[in-house]
Amino acid sequence: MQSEKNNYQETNSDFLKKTITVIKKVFSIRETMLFLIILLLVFTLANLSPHFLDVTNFRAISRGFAIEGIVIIGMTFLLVSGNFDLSIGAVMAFTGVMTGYFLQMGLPIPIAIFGGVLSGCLTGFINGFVVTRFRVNALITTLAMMSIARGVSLVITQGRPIAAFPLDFIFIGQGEVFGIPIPFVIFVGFVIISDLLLRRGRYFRQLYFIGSNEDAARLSGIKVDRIKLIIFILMGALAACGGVLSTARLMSAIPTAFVGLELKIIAAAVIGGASLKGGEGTVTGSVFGLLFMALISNAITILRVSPYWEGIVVGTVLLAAVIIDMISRQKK
Amino acid sequence: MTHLLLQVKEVSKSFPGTQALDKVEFELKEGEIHALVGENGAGKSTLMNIIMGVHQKDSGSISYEGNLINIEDPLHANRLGIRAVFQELSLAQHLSIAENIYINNQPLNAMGIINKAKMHTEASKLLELFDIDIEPGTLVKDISVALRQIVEIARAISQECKLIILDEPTASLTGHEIQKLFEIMTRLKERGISIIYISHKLEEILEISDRVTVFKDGKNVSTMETADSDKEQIIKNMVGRELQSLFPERKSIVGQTVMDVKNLTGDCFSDVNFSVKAGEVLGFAGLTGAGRTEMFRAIFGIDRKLTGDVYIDGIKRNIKLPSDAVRYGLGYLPEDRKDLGLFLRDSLKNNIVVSSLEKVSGHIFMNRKLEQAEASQQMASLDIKAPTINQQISALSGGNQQKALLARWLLVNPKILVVDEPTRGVDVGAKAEIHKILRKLADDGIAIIMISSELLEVLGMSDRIITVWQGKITNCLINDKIGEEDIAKYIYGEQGIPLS
Repeated sequence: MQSEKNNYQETNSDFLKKTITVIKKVFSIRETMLFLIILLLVFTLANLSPHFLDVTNFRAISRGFAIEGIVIIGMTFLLVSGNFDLSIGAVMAFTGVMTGYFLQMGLPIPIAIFGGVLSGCLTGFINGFVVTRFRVNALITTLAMMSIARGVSLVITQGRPIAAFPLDFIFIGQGEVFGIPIPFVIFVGFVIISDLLLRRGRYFRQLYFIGSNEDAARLSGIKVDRIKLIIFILMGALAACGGVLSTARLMSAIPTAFVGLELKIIAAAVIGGASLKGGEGTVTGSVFGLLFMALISNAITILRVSPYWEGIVVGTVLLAAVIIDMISRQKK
Repeated sequence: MTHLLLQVKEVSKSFPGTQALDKVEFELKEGEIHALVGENGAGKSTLMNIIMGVHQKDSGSISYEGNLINIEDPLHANRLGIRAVFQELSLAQHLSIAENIYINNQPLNAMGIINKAKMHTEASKLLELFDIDIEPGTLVKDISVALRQIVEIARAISQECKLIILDEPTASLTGHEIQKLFEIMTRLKERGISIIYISHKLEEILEISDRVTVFKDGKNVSTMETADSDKEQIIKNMVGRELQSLFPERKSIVGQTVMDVKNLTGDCFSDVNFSVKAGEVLGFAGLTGAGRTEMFRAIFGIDRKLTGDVYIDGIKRNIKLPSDAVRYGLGYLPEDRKDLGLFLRDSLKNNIVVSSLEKVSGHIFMNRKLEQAEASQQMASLDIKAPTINQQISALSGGNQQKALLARWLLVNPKILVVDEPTRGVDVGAKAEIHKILRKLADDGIAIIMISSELLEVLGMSDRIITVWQGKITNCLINDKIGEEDIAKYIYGEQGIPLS
């Protein structure tokens, strides 16, 4: 962002002004505010607990966070286009189970992972196909898929986790490069690419138009149905990545894992500036929202507050975020 | 009948950045139809919002039935007997016509349960006033825009009231429906009800109103007895300049046929055949609901067509989706600007570039400089008035929004541009500008197809006029020495339903 700003400064001042307004808009108040609140939270926690700044604490946060962070990318795409997916928690469990199943069959690791991701694409495709072809709304479609994906995982495993995986596979979830957990590296890579694509990419720009007014987008020549189908598939693929990484990290594919995760992800994205009405949201914003929620649950753990409080705090924060957002919008 | 119902004195109101009303005077007698005209942004809507209690005045006074009052909110206005029918339709789509009319005063039976039968008969009676025979249980989402407007009006007069504000009530109505509305207005007037009538259509104002007040830039310029004024006088007061000729000159340098439509049949129309040539403006005249819009929705790939072929530049094209239509060189400016055209929460720039993303980007990423430059160029060439290109489009006036939609298609540079009611709800000045733009596009070689319910507009703009009646093309007239009556004959069917 910085080097680009310099580029513009070399051109005339009129352009500079425009660029500044664009940059202001890009870093909307929501994201900067969230960033400041996160900094404040980190600072306070560091003062309150000596354990907070421990490397082990950070590693513990980062693994779980990275997996959810990969998934929230797909949810952000969907929310921007005015859709959402309630099946992702179940799909993560399902794709983990599929990967575990393929590994137990003795398939090579890359093939097993590929199979897992492909099964995620399949659930995404079914979601997208039903939504675009039959005009069933996303709520009902993905709710049904949530139930089906969970059911299939339970049938395949008979309710028992699949374990005993090759070490090379476990390394993907537990290993580190230069001291950084591998899931975190993958997460950072995905976020950078997807944030750029959503902010600046020609293809993803269309998501904002679809979310803002689907009929007008269609009449403007945007291939609305095809794009929606693709992002549902993308969502499935990203959920599968999360499912595979988590299976590797926990060394077992658990059919009952990630119950209710979809709502946490949607809540985090909304705190980060996305809207269920569509047309709004950025990947960075959603990741900040998720980071904020992760810090709060970490704070509850290290400050030895009863974990039962977590839901109350998260719910209150979510309400506060959307209320503040509505008020600031009315002022505009 | 000389009692004043409403007297507005020196009312001012400012919004951030604009003085919407500047010491405005306005009065309304009992049983008077008082027309209020002015270009968009002249302050008409602001005054109405103050009278309805939506906004609060900054200074000045309002007296109602002789008492100084302060209208606190729309509910208060309602209790005072003030009703409004606004341009933005506010009906519940999934409720029936009757339920919408009686939305907050349903007739109840002894048990306190809604008396549906009574509600339906009462609703039918109200609709009969407009000569409309429709089952009152029909859902609002299934009826035409024009009918929805009538339902809104019926709702306003379903309860006792003293003052009715009609804001552009005829924008989506046809000649016959308008006449019915006028009859009802006259009847209401005889009952002592006062009406504030806001419209851009000066002919109607001259026909129906007792007095006419002109607003310009937040001030009231003049109030005249309608009998003493004429169209030119009103326009002069509105824009502060003489409007010599309302329509741009036709050059009629017509090129080759660019689109041929053969035997097109759909749900609301059948056996449609016509062709359009480069450089001409082809007018489509007809009543609302005659099937004009539906024909072009099918051609553009929005709705499914049943049978028929579309040839573009002589090649048969199978258009399944609007994106196909755009690829083959068609552009379509929809009738319903807000719902089908604009991205209201988005910027002017994004609203312009949406159909040309490939043009303003590299392989993967958008080219911001190019995007800005292309949009700015369109903004300048169409004279779209906005503080910056990044202005949210919802803040612009109707005329400027419509120009932005035109800019969207100009950036695509289509061979054929279909414009559906291009000047609905825009002020006189913007209307003339849009006409000029359309004519210039035709001169540049684009084939323009203009659907319009305003006969004067069709006559003033078109090189050829196609008349549509009940889903069929009834005639194709060369626009030379023909008048409104010639067209009217064909759009009301061969039986010749009388105009008024």
